[in-house]
Amino acid sequence: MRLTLNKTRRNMALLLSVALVGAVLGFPSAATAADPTCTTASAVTTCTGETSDTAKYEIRVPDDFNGTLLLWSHGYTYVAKIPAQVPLLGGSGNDLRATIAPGAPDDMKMANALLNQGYALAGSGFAVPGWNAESAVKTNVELIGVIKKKFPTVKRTVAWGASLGGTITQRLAETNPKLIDAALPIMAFNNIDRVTGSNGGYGTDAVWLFKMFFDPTIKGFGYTAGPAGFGEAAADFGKVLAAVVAIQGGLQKSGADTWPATASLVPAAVKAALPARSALLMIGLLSGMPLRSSSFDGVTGTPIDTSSIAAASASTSANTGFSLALQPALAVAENMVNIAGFATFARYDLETQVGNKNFADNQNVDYAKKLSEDERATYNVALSGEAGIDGLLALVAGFKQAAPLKADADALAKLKKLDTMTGQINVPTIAFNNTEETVEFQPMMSWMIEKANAQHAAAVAAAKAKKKKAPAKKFAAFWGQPLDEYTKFNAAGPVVQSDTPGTGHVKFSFPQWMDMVRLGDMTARLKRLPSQAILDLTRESDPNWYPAEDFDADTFESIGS
Amino acid sequence: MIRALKNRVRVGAALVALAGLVSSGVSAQAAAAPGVTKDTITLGMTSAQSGAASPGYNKVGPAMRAYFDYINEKGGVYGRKIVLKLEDDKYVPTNAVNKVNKLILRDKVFALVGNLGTATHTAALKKTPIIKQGVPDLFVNTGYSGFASPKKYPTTFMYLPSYIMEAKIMAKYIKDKFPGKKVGILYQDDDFGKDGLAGFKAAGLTFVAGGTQKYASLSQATVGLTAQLTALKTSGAEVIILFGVTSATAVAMRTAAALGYGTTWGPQFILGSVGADPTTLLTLAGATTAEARAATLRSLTGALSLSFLPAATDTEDEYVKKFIEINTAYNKGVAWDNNVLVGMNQAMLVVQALRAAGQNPTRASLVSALKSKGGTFASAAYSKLDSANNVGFTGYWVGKYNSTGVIAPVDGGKPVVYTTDSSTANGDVATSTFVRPAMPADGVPTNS
Repeated sequence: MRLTLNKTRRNMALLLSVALVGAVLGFPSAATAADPTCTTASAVTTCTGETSDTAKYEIRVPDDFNGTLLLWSHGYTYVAKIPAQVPLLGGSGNDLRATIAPGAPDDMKMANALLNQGYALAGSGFAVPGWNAESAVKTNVELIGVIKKKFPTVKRTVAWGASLGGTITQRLAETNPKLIDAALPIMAFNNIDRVTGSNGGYGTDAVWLFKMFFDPTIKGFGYTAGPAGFGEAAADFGKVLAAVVAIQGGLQKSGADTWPATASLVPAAVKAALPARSALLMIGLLSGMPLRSSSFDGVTGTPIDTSSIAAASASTSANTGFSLALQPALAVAENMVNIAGFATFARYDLETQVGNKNFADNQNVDYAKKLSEDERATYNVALSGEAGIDGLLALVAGFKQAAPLKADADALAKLKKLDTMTGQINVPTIAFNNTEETVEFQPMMSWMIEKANAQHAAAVAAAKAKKKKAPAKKFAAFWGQPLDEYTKFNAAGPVVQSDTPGTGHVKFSFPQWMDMVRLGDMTARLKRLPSQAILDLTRESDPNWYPAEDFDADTFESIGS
Repeated sequence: MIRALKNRVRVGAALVALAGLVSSGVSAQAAAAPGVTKDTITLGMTSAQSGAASPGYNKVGPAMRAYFDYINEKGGVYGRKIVLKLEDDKYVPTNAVNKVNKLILRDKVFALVGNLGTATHTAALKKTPIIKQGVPDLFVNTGYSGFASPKKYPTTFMYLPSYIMEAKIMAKYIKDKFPGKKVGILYQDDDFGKDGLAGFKAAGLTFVAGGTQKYASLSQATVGLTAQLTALKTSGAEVIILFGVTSATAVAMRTAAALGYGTTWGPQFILGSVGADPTTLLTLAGATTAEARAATLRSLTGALSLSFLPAATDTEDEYVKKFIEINTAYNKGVAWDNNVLVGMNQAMLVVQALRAAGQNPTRASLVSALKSKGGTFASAAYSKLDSANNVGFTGYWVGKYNSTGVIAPVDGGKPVVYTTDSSTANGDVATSTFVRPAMPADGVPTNS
């Protein structure tokens, strides 16, 4: 399939022009955009159009409108169409269709449900694909102006969005607080530099360690400029997938462990002594990856054969062995594939934005220190005991000594400038994330919580100094989580599942999405957060919410990034 | 779908209304400790109730519950009945985190009692709010010395003597009774094994070349222990320490029999306490074949092991006698063994701790009472409970198995109890002068 890089170049030029104009975000103005085209059918008025930056948008307002507008910001879309022959991701990317709700425009179930409840929905496709936070904020500001002009019945606006859309939502709230009444940043991506750049970091470590252990021909970093580089990213994704399939296939069928043939840097003696699954799990632990995935809950064992006492005894051993030794590695395998798409194609995008140079660096990373004593104990079985742990860490140290990642300083400086999110809370905000989220992993949410708490503490101290009443909190956090056990088996082995709430990337149940909207609407109406009792009751009413606010999540510091 | 959504909206509205009620109710009961009502005290426990690691250990929780049922019939603790919520973590750390979170955050238990396993509890302490919420974490069922750390784990109290203590006492016994003999060891390659090795090292016990063998936890069930036992045999070790969990001991004993133990090979086996319950060992063997059971018994006969409680078969012991009565009446159908004894004794300690915490206990008062008074609690153990330092019991006696798998003091008569601490700075071990408190009348504590 032909890569659509001509379009990408055009979009890049547009992005640069936006940057040059500067992110001076003022009061919304719809003057530069044409009026939307509207039609009414089935008791819903639908308007479409383009903002001045050519971003497509859509607005839907039901006849029984309740006064609350939900402004959705969709997540990251790859900068070009991924070739069809690339497994799992082929055909995706460069999708600039207007998106008014999670799942839309392909799946309108949630959009229709919200319209049925009286909410107005709106969203853009944004002007450019790839990392586009500042450009998208500008688009949203203009879109709000269009909506308010066309629909003066809008009484309140809730901004919400997921993944990069969460970042856009938060940036909109930071820069234009008067335009919205509540913000729901969902898995807001932040700290690009800590995640992908200097001093290792989640995305850097996962790919670099995988490359060194399983396939050193993976390029991973410093992609060539232009279409060739996008092709390199596609090839890398395929290599990650191939190595994962080689390991995972053996594990799922029989627990037999197979080092992929491409694992050329691992000495034969190590391969004979240590299973590949332990190396895979070590990658997950050192990078800070979730150790539960959409199909693997880290708990459930293989089915127990109760046909006889001897069969039960043997299958009970296998059952526990699967739980302790295989489950975490299988989860890492599944999550690695999930991460690899972003770690290759999105890295290509970011490298393009900073001058086609590598910005990843792990020269100062002490990988041995990234494995905590608690993790050594918790995953001792799966890592093949203390001897296995020490052997794997020695191997990693050798890899780093032989081939460390070295960043281009100018590229790294430019990367840091792309990270504009400050964490400032200017409107009542409820942030959401999942405990086993694979892309916007736990530390990103922890960072937001820390920022918000520090801001509130400072505000309380300032009020106290002036002998004024302490201000109310403006920020709350919700953690989604998977159920305790969800791994399923059939005669062929574990069943692949893709929509398990709390795992993967931006996976929530339908009731959870409805909880978000309800809380956002309530916040916008009250002009403050709902009471603690309501927040707690919401958390406790659904097992897919962690039942307390203070989930003890990983932080960047705790995982050594 | 639309109807379902409308229902959802109604549920949402109901939640809002309910929130108001809950809110007012909360303020009215603000002083009550979590898990404590006028009539009940709710406790939580996680343990391996199923899975490969469960045999034997899965009897501890039900035994505790049986003792609590007995106490409840006798009036409970200051009129409150004890409710024990027992969760099955299957010995899987991730699952232990799930279950402890459930117990604390959803079930809102007052305290955790008897949680079992080193890796499982390490994970729970790291990933649940035990420390943050100050949840009393009483009588952890593992000998890993790292849990006795008031600074790191202020509310966690051990029950078993530490593996370091056990190793130091075992080392002294070997040096005294088997001087000059070559010693070998099979240990589990994790914190459990590391703790033991640290104790042996502190006591100056050295192992013969080729006689230090390890197994990755659980590998005993999947790849077996033939390589390790063969190496131990080749090393010429005359005394072999099996410092592993019960399932590993069981595999090791069967493997030893296959390698000629009892006919062409005759080392002295010494079993670590947590892998030495004879009933479980023989049950595990019997689950495979009758020949395996016979082989296990052959290897077990004459083996030595350490224990901090009386032998479960010592029916003359006043604690054992009373606990057997309670087990018969309140734990129907469960065979009496060392695991049941462990659980009953643990439950009796919990009752005393709750009583010592006062008529209106709080989590803080429970921790405080255990620290200040735990050393005086009645218990079947032959050594002192060092709860002032969050440590469990502090001594062991050495026993020998006979040809039916019954263990008795090695030199006959009353057990000689050795005591030490978890310091790795020295291997000091002394003969204990501890005088065990008498069993409370009718097995019902009345302390305050």
